[in-house]
Amino acid sequence: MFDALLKPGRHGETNGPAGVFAAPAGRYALATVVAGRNRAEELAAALEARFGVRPPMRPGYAAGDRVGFVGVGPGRWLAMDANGDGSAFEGALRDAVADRGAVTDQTDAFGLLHLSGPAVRKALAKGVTVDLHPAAFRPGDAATTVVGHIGVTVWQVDEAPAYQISVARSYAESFLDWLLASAAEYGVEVTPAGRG
Amino acid sequence: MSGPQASLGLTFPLVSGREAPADHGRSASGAPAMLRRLPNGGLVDRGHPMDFEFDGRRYTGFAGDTLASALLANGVTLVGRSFKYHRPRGILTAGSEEPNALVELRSGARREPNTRATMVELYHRLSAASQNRWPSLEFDLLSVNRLATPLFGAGFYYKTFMWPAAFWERLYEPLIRRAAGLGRAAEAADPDHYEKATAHCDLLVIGAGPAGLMAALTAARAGARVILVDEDFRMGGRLLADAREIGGSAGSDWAAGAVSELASFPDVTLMPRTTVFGAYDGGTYGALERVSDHLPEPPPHAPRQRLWRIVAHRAVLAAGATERPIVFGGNDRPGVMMAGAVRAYANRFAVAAGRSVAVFANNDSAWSAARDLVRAGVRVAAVIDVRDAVDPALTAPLASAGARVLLGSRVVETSGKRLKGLEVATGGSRTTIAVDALAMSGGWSPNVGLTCHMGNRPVWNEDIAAFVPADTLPPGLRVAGAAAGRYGLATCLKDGAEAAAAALSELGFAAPAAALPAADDEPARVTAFWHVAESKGPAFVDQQNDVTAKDISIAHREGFRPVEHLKRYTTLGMATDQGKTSNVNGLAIMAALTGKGIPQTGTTMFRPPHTPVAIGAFAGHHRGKEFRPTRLTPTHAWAREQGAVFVETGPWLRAQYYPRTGERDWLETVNREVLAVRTGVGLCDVSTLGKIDVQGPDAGTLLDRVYINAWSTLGVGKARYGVMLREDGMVMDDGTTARLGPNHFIMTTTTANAVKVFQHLEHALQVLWPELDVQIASVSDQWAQIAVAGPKSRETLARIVDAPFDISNDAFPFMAAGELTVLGGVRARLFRISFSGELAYEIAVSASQGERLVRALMEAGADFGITPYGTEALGVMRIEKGHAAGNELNGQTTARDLGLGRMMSTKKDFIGRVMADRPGLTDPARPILVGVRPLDRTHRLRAGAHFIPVGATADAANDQGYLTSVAWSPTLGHSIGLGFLANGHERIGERVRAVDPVRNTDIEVEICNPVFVDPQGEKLRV
Repeated sequence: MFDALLKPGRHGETNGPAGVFAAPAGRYALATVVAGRNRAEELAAALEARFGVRPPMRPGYAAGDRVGFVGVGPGRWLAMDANGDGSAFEGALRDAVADRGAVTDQTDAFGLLHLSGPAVRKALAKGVTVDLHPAAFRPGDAATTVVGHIGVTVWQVDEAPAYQISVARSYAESFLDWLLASAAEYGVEVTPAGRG
Repeated sequence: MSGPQASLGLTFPLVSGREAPADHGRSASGAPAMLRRLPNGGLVDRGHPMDFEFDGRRYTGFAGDTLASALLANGVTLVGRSFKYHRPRGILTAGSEEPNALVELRSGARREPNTRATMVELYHRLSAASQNRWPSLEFDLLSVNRLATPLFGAGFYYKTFMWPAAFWERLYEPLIRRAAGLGRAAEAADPDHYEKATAHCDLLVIGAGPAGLMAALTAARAGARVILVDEDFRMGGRLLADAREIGGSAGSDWAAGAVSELASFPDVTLMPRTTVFGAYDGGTYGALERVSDHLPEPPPHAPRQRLWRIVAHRAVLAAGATERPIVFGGNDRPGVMMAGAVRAYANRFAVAAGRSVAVFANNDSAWSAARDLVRAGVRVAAVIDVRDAVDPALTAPLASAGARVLLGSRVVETSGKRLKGLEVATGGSRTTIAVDALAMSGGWSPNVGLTCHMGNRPVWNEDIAAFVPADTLPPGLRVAGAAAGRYGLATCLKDGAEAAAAALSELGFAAPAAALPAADDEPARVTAFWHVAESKGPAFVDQQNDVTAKDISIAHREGFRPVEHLKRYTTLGMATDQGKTSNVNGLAIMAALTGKGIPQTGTTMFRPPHTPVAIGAFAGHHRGKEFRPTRLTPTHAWAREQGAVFVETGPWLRAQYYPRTGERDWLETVNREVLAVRTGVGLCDVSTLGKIDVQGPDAGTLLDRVYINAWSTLGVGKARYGVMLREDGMVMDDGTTARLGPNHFIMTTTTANAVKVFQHLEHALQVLWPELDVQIASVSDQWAQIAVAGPKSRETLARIVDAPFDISNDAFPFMAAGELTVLGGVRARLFRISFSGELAYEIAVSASQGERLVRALMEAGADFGITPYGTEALGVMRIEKGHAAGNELNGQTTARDLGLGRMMSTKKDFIGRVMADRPGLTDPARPILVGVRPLDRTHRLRAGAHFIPVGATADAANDQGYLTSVAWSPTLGHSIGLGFLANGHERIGERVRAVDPVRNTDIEVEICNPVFVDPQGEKLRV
């Protein structure tokens, strides 16, 4: 729902190039996948066989062409389909998971935001207490943490650096208040969904 | 003109009235010339003059000045009045320890009281005012407080105003409050914003003096992530204040070179204007960055201050040392300053503290300061040292510069409103010396504060007459240089490099031994000396809180001898400066009185913050509307469009009621909404209820164990009401849970407990029964859920349900649950459950479809007069139906108390079962849920009123329970209530009183069935 809340254009400081780029991260289908008791490895293998990408067995992020997984807890992932319908993705995941765990459609539960730009780390440091320095946090790393009393999961998608962040739908507006206030001094360029 | 009588405070008000203000020369521009600015030198930018204003008078300073140095440059030495006695006070120090030079900075909404002039970086058009004086700083009528000195002495709060008690509130306290105080806080809301941020590093270096710079350089060159923090706007520490050489060039130049080298490393963060104020667990440090305090106002989008949480693998404390005053008569007079500060004003700011300066000390460093003054062109009239012998290498340059060298001597008294003269005792003889500045030094105290924040105490080092950090330090922290009590420039450079190298090697960095630049150590011998005993005038220990040596002897006499008692009895060290210049002197004087010695006397606790931190910085982004995040429902925008009034329920904003034009008050609106549901159909967003997806082969078993009733027997496609207990047997939460498949349940919780119940299930699965194969996921944000209630609800829903799903009473009876599609293919879940007591459903769709659903329902029910209702109508209807809610599920009630005792299964175990059997919880006399209505139906019930038998005294002994929820029932036309009454079930029809001693009501009420509407539940099943 970030596409409805986030107006494309320049926010905060308008002089100079923007320090932070923000974009709603397109229309992903999302689901929670939770492994059955002692079946995380087996489940990960089944998902890899079906989607061509192995869900990380740690707070990490791995993505294939279309489907990606973020480790959000032991034997627990947020699964993403870049081009999908929630119900169909839930069905495809259920097929792959079978009796190895549970799948729950979460397509409307989270907003996904794509963040990048030269000042993105400085802006995130105002809420994310996890160390995002390249010595500590690399593309493929993820963290489930709290920003301004709001639970989020953040993962790094490339070296630029670019991050994606998931926020519970009902908190999206408050999260954007925090983000735009925190990044204002660097200048924020909001680009349309799917880019950035 | 000097002599004891001239300095006695008691005669002072008469003198002050006659004394003319210092005469300032004036420049052509109208601002006075900088009379005390030295012609050469200093680290100020003479090419950038800056106008500023103090107490309405215009002055000029230079970029690089502090407000204190700029005032001194203009000959302004009287800058404030003291806390209790309104004594004239000046500038004592050149740093964050300043007790006296507190001013109100800026004006209007940005007015900041108690701002240390020594820490204010001068900016163009700065405006400041003195505080705690009336009508003016020169002539302060409240200085008559000094006549009442005996009243304001140690312990005066406890003793003087003991009797008569009534006088305290009415007379004494208001008087004291008016007379004693500091600056005035701004009355308008702070227009600026504050932020919080987190930084991580391998090595945090606290303090950018020689030890800190060398530590940072060592770590930076080894490739470590370094954060270097200094409270000053210019890094260098004492290298800026003392005229020293490193490697053949000026120490300040070396510091500038080190700073620019550090700035060239990508992983080094330089944080000037930042104070590390606290050391916490896990290598975490609190720091305050004054981002915009040196500007008239913050630039657009910039915060005023930023509160940092710095997470450091290792840290080096190189915070230097603070010079101690000497306690003697009139040591608080404007013009009496710390020797190191006088040295800093001369070297760094090119300001002479006076036309003629004397030095009074017990240690070598003051002699180096005196030598620097001579070299800078400041006239040194005398150097007075309590020691009988001082290294001739120190005394000779002063003697040859024409200064009187007085060894074995003490300053006994001072005179002048602004310092004019000293009376010096040498052996039995006394001399007077006319000076307008006195540079004093009682030795140095290492800045050990941060080493003590995790409970450690510093230890006394007799050699340097100071407390130094104990061997036990906060994990990961090392101390280097003067902060460790290791003085001398060469020593500090080496110590900083070694501390960093040791820290880095622990982290696995190869840190080659740094090439140390050439420098030498200044002599630093000291002989402990605290108090000039023969002084008769007030000799101040704590200048900010006006605590004198005499107050300490009073505390001693009255038995308040341990340092923590001394502190609280006299208020020593309790001012905003936290006693940085006074604590050691105070405890040393007490140690002398008790004869115990300083190590046995010890120090008070050091606690964060090291220096004051604005509350705004701790709040950061979270003020006003952002105090905490707000959660919005999927239909929020639609409800706003309908003109809903919203209410905060926990983090959620929910529609409270939907007023219509012409309605006089909320009650009229709520009555309309209730009657619409009872006679037609209404809808309400209930998405805020917690929703938890429970899957897995053991899902039913888990529910059997967390709910008091049975679940594994529930059929697929059915819903059931459940109650959960805490382990202690009290009710934790309730809600309706449905079975969507053999291994799939969807649980709902109350709005308030959504997170708590999820945590409860996680705990059960991870800790209590890890053998259960159950997977849970919160889906509270995934689903928009809308209650559709009223006799016309089925007909309304039928219009949006896709064929062939059948919602007829036979196909989809009360407590049915199912998955279906609506509106031509939108995935939905339907539950036939009712909170209102009417025929009702809850329908859920994906959150993004919530707004579409509510609009479709409004359209589908339009001809039935479908009415949106809010939380108020929801509450009225649940009271009419006798449903317990938050007021009843208050953590003190059992299932039996709520009338749900028979739900508790006896065939299985569940959380809370054992403890729910405690005799106290099964006592039949325990208050139980009942309905209540006023005997006189026109009376209004009050929630919170207590039940008292008719004719009994309204006291605790006769208390039989209380009213938890009340409402005006538009269905019944009178006030109704729910409450807990002892033996309530047997007392239906009985009369008791509802007594509300808070609002003073006492009415007779009748006890009845808590289900006021449709007690047989017939409406639910039609």
